[in-house]
Amino acid sequence: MERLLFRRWSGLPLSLIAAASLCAQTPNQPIVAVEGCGQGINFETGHYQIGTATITDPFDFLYWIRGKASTTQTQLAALLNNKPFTYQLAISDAISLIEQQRFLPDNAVGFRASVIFAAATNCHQNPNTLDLKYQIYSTVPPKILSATPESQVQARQSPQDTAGLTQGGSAFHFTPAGGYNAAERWYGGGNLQVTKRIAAFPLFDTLSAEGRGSSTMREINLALAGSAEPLGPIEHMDWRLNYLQADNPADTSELRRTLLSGQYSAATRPFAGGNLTARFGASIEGGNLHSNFPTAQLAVNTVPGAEYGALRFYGGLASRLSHNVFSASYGLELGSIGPAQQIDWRKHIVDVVDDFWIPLRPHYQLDVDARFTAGKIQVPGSIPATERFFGGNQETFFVPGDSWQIRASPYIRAIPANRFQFTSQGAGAQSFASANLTIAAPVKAWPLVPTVVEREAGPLLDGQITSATSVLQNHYAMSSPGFQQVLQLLEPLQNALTALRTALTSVQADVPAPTFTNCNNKLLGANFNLTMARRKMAAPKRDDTLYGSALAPLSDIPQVVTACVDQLIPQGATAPGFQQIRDSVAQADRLRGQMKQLSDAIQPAAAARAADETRFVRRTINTLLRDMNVLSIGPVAVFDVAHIGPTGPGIDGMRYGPGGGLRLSIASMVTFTSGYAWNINRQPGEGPGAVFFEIGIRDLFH
Amino acid sequence: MASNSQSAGSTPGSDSTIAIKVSFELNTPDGLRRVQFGLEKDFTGTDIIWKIHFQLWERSVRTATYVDPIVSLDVQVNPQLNQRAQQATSGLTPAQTAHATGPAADAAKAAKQGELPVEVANDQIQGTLQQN
Repeated sequence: MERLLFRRWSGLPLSLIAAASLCAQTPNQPIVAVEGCGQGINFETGHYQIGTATITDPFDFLYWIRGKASTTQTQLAALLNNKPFTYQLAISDAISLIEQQRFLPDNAVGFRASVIFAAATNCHQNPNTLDLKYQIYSTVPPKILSATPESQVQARQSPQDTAGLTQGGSAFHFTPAGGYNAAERWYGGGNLQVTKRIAAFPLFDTLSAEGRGSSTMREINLALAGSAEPLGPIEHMDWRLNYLQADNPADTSELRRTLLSGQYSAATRPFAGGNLTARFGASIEGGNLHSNFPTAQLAVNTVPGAEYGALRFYGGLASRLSHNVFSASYGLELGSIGPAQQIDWRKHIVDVVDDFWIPLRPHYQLDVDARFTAGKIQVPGSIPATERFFGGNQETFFVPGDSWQIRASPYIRAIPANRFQFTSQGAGAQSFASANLTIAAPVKAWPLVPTVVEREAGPLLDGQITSATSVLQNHYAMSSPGFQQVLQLLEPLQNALTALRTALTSVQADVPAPTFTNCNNKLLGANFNLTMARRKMAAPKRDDTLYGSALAPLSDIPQVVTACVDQLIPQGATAPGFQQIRDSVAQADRLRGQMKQLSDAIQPAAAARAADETRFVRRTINTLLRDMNVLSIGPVAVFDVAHIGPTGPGIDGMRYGPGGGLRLSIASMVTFTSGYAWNINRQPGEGPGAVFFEIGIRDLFH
Repeated sequence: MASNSQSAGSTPGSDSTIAIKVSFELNTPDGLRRVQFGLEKDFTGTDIIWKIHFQLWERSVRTATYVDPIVSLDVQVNPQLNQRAQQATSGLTPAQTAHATGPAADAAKAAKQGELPVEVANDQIQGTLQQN
C-alpha cells in the first residue's frame, strides 16, 4: 500500500508540467538552462546521461497491468539506463516499446483512450544527468449499461471494470466472499468465473460457479452466460442458463430451492435526450421448492413444498445524470405447481433505486443510496411457502446475475436473514414494502487518479469519447436518406476532374514544374478519393468508410482550386487550356457547394443521436476520474423501514431499523462493511437488532 | 541513479515534459476497420514538433482478430498545422474521423501497394487535421 500511495503522489510534479506544456501551447521561447529540468533545455545537445527510467499506470494495482508495467520497466531499463540522452531514444524508441505492451485489452470495438506522458526529472549538472518518467492513462469504458445503478456500484467497488481493464487479464476470475449474520452465521464462499468465447460454442462466453456456505445454509449457483451488442435500437442483450441449489434458514424452518432457469434481457440505446435507457427481459424456470414449515403455520393457499414452473417478465427504465443514478423496475411472475397452463400465483415486484452523491471536495463525496421495493402476491391456486416473501438483512433478487438486480424481498438490516416473515396468515408474507437509506462519507480517501492528473489527463481521455461520438455521428449521417443525394454527386464531380486533367495536360509545358506537380498531386488525391468512394458505393455491402470517401471532395476541391487555379494559372493567361481549367474547376466547385449543403442538412440529427448514445459513457468516465478512490474509509449510517402483510390483531407488520457502521474499501482488493442496526419496533420472538458484517474480496487473479 | 551522481551544491529542479502522446483509436461501427491516430507532441529543447502516428487494421468479418497493422506510417506535421494538432488532442471532429478512417486510410494503403505516391498519401493523412 505504501508503494501504491507513493505512486499516486509521484505523478504530481509531472502532471503540473504536463499541464503547462500541453494546454499552454508554448511557442518557441528561448529558455536559459538552469539547474533542474527547466522546460526548454535541449537534453541531447546538453549531453545529458540517463540515470533510470520508470513507468507508472494508475491501474497498476491490477495484477496484469502491474505485470506489463514491470516487464516494460525492465525493457526500458535495458534501453535507456546509463545511456546518453537522445530524443530518438527517450521518445520514439521508449514510447514505441511501451505501446507494444498494449496496456489496453484488445476488445476490437467501442472506445479506447490512451495518453502517455514522458518527462525528464531529477536533472543535475556537472555531470549532466537526468531520470526519465513515463505515465500511462488508458481506458476502454464499456458503452453498455453505464446508466444503471449496478454500473455505479461497479465503478465504486471495481473501477478497473468500469475502465474496461478487467478483460485484459486472465480469463479466470476468482472472488472469495464471506460475512456474518445471525441467521446464516459466519459464511464463506466465492465466485469462479471463466470468461472465454470458444469458437465452437459461440453462444456463451462466461461460465460461473458461485457458492456460499455456513453451518446453517448452503447455496450453489452454476451459470452459462453470453451477450451481444448489436447495431440496431437494442444496444445490449444477454442471456443466461442458470442452475441453483439453495438451502437457507428461515427462523425455525428452512427454505430449499432447486431450479433450472433460462433468461434473456436487453437494453435499448439511450433516448429522451440521452438521459434514459429502457431494459426488458423474460425468463422461464422450473424445479422444486420446499420448506419444512408445518402446514398449520402456513396460509390455507400455501403448501410446504412442490414441483413448480414459472414465467417471469420484467422491464424498467434507468438514467444517469452527473451525480445521480436512477432506475425503476417492474417484475411479474406467473407460477404454477399444477398443469403448465394453470396459473397458481402471480407475483408483482416494483423496485426503485436512486443513488446520488454530493461532492464535498475532490474525491470526498457524500454517498446517498435510497431504495424502495414493494411486492404483492395474488394466489388463485396454491403457492409453495418458499415463493412467499421472507425478509431480513440478506438481499434476494428477482432474476439471477449481476447486470440487473431487481430486489425481490423486504430488506431490513436490523433483522437477520429470512426472519422478517410472520404475518396474520402464518409464515411468509403476501405483500411487503421496504425503504432503505444508506449514507456514507469517507473521512480519508486516496484517489484513483490524483486531482491534478485528472485535470490534465481528463480532457485528453474525454477527447477519445469526443472522437468516438464523431464516429457514431458519421455512421448515423451515412444512414440518413440525405446521404443518397450526396452519392449522386460523385459521378459528375469525377467527370469535372477528368476534364480538368485533360486541360491540365494541355498546359503542362506552359507552367513551372513544381507548380504543375503540386496541382497534379492535389488532383491525384481528389480523384483517388472519388474513385474509392464510387468503388465502395458499388460494393454489394457498403462499409462505413464510404462516408469519409464520399465527403472527401468537401476538402479536396478547395485545395485543387488553390493549386490548379490560384497558383497555376498565370495572371492574364487566356490560352484555351487555361480557360478549360477554370471552367472544369468552377464546375467541380459548384458541385462541391451542393454537396456541402446536403451534408450540412443531415448533420444535426446525426449529431444529436450520437451525443445521446455516448452521454452515459462520458458521465461514467467523469465519475471514474473525479470521484473514485483506490482506498477510502469512513462511517456509514443506515435507516430502514419495512412492512409485511397481511397483519391482524397482535401482528404488527411495521419495523424500523436505524443503524451505523464503518466501511473500508480498497479498490480491486477488498470492501469491508460492518455495523449494527436496531430493531425499533421489535415483536415477540425478535432480537433487539442485528450485526451486519460483510467482507468482499476482489478477484484474486487480477 | 541520477541522484547519486548529483554534484555538490546542485539542487534538484522541477520535471520537464519531453513528450505527450494521445492515441485515438477509431473503430468503424461495422467493426471491419480500425485506425489508430496518434498525436505526439515532442519538446526538443525550445522546439515543439508534432507527429502523427497512423496505423490501419482491417478484417473481413467481425469475429476475426485484428493481427498486425496493414499500414503503419509516421508523419511529421507541417508546423502550419500545429494549432490544428493541438485542438485535435481534445478529440477529433466528425469530419476528421471520417477522413481518418476513409481517405487517409485508403491513401496509406494504396501508397504501401505502390498505387499512390507516398507524398500524396502523407498529404491525405495530414489532411485529417485540416478537416473542420
